[in-house]
Amino acid sequence: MFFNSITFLIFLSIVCFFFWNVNKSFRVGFLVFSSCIFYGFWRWDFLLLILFSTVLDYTISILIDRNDDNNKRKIYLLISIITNLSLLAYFKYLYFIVDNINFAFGSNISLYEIILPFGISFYTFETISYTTDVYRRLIKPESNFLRYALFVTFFPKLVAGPIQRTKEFLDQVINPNKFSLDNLFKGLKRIIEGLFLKVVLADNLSAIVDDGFNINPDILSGVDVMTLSALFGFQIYFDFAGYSSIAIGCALLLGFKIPENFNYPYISKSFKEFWKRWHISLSSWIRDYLYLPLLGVKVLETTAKGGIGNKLDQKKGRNKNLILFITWAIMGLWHGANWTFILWGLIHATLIFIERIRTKYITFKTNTIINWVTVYIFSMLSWIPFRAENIENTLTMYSKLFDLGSFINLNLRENYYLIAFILTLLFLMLYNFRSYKLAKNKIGIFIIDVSKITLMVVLTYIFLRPIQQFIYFQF
Amino acid sequence: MKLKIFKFFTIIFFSLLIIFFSSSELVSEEFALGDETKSYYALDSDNKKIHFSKIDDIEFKDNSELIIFLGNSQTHGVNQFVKGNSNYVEILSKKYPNKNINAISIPNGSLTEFYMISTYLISNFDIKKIILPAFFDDTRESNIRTEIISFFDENNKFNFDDNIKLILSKNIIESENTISTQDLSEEFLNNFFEKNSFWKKRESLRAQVFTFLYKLRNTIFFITPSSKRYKIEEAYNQNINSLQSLINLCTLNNINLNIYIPPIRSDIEIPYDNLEYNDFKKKIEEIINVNKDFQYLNFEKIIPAKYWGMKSSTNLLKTKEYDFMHFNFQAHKILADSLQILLK
Repeated sequence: MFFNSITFLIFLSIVCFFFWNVNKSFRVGFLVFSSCIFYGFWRWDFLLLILFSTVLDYTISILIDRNDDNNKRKIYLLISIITNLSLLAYFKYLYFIVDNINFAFGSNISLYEIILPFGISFYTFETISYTTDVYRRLIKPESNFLRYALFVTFFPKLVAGPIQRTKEFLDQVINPNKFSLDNLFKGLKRIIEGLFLKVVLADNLSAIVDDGFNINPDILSGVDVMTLSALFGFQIYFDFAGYSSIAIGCALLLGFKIPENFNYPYISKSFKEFWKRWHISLSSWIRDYLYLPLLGVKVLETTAKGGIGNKLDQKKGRNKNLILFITWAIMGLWHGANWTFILWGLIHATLIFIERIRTKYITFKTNTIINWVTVYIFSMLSWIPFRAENIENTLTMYSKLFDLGSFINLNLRENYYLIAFILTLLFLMLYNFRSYKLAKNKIGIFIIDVSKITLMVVLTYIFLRPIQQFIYFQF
Repeated sequence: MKLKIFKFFTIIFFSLLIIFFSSSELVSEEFALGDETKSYYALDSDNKKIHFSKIDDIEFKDNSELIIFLGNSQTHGVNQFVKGNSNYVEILSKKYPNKNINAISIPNGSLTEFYMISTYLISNFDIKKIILPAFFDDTRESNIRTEIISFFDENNKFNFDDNIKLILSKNIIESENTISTQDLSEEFLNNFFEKNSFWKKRESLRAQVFTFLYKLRNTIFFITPSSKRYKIEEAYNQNINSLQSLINLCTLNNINLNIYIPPIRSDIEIPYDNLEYNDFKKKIEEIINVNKDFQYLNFEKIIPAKYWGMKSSTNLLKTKEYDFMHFNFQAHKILADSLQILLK
């Protein structure tokens, strides 16, 4: 089911009503049942896949916990990881693998149609983190199957995250929150904000971004490339931050807290900071289950907060930079089965690598505005491989940035430049003039909040149509 | 907590108030034309429709030896319209009742769109002649409107050139073979809500939001219809390629193609870069003259200043602005007189 649809809003109202009115002992089961309906509205058959993954990791985690033999524990963990990753590889990467084999060996292997199950990348990461944490003895396995099933299938985060850690979620299942008006209003506010970002901003931007990226990249200039990358940067931000906000809001209506995924990423003054503000739950997952283990750092706690942190610099001996590049290439590949996504990951690894060198050798404090402008421009430009049709178009677009002779030739409609400029300006303004900063007293905050949310409600009502999927559904 | 409850109901109250009292009367096309200009679609002497605005609506009374006038809103827009006025298509149709004159005009129609429409017409009807104005303005359009894309998606049997195939492949969204439960429920709910006027007015409200943003943009950046519109390389090349494809198609099918540079007001500075505009005219003449049976005509200065008009404000300041595209009924008569040469 898509969040940006009338079907979902009706579904959510019914689920919330019954959830708070059924007997407490039925609530977990009711939510699992509702989550299955939520997923089944897209495809009922793929529910079996989720069920398989859930049963597998539920069983294996208990086996890992009950066993004291380290080798056996490791084997159980490997079975879980390999099975989960194999499913992911089959549904998501088989075309990519076969295409590359065909290209490398000149073969002509063809495949039947494989449909990518929504959310597979997200719930696979959640289940892997669960068995890994049980293996690391950071958590005890959940003995109640329904509770664990709810962790995997909880509908607000099922399809595109945020990727939550088991402990953070199951603590709330075991000690459930009571109904509160505060959570209800906060939840509704987050849903409105999310829908506004998605249906008003992201969907309307999508039309011009699609047209822009359909243009033959050969005729674009450097300014055009920068403009298009900024427009897509905003589109994907509004789209995914919108989705995450709706997910957080829905969870709040049901008394659950799920982690934040975004925190004004485009105001970052370093790339390290950018990754503490962008898709936070994924970057922290990558940190705890890929980067730190590869570095040889023992992970002692598990939390979906924080992005790439300071822990990274602690371990000596292993090649930190090589691991950085490997991790980011994998992170890129997680997003999609295409070389463009790997390139995107490697670009970010390079930017972080350069930043490490810079901070090592340039010890004096650099200007905040210059830092922001640098990070803003490069983080936007890094989106090109994420959106371009293929590597060839990506490289052509990047080459335009070095074609100084025709750098400012304008080949897009005037609106493109205006919208990119206005969005940048608005983003900075919204960050710097948030209502609590703008108003000095409660009445001031009340007036600003009411005007802002009323505008969002009206515009969301006008634009609500499931015309565009969320971008992250395809990952 | 009381404040939060009060805030919640205040938001609900104001939202309902705004939606309820918003006008539902806004037709985007009429807004684009402005208050001074009215759309008029030609009828023949039997009051039968011979002038269409959508490819799906085309239904010719007589399918033999068709003469097709293509055009943008200049064809169906009549400035300072009064009862009894018509447009040049109707004037010509009534003057030459023996000729099977018809027209298709779409606002801001690009040469690419006209090439696609012509392909459909040539494949399905007995076309004798096509008369097409080449607007510099519309070479800035690279998008193909959704209704044309979906028309050709459903009737996907046309052998377009690679240029169009590429555009179509980028625009046609491949739908999944299976219909999900969500698709069914959305369809059901939409049909259910569409009966409610409160829900129905959303489409008009969307148009109002875009109109407001358009006017706001024009106000902030001092954009008026007189502002210079520069060539957009990609769109321009795409349109010129489409014109070339149309010429090839007509040559192949032995159809007489005539292209004219449409009238533009000459009493004030034109909203184009003179160099780019002159290059455009030269280019059109050059490619049309390759086929000796085809004609190129230039009508840019045939309409005197007095027959042009103004258009209502395109910004928030409510000042009248020059209309470079639409002229009055007298001018339609002049254009009809000039076009006669192509019918003889």
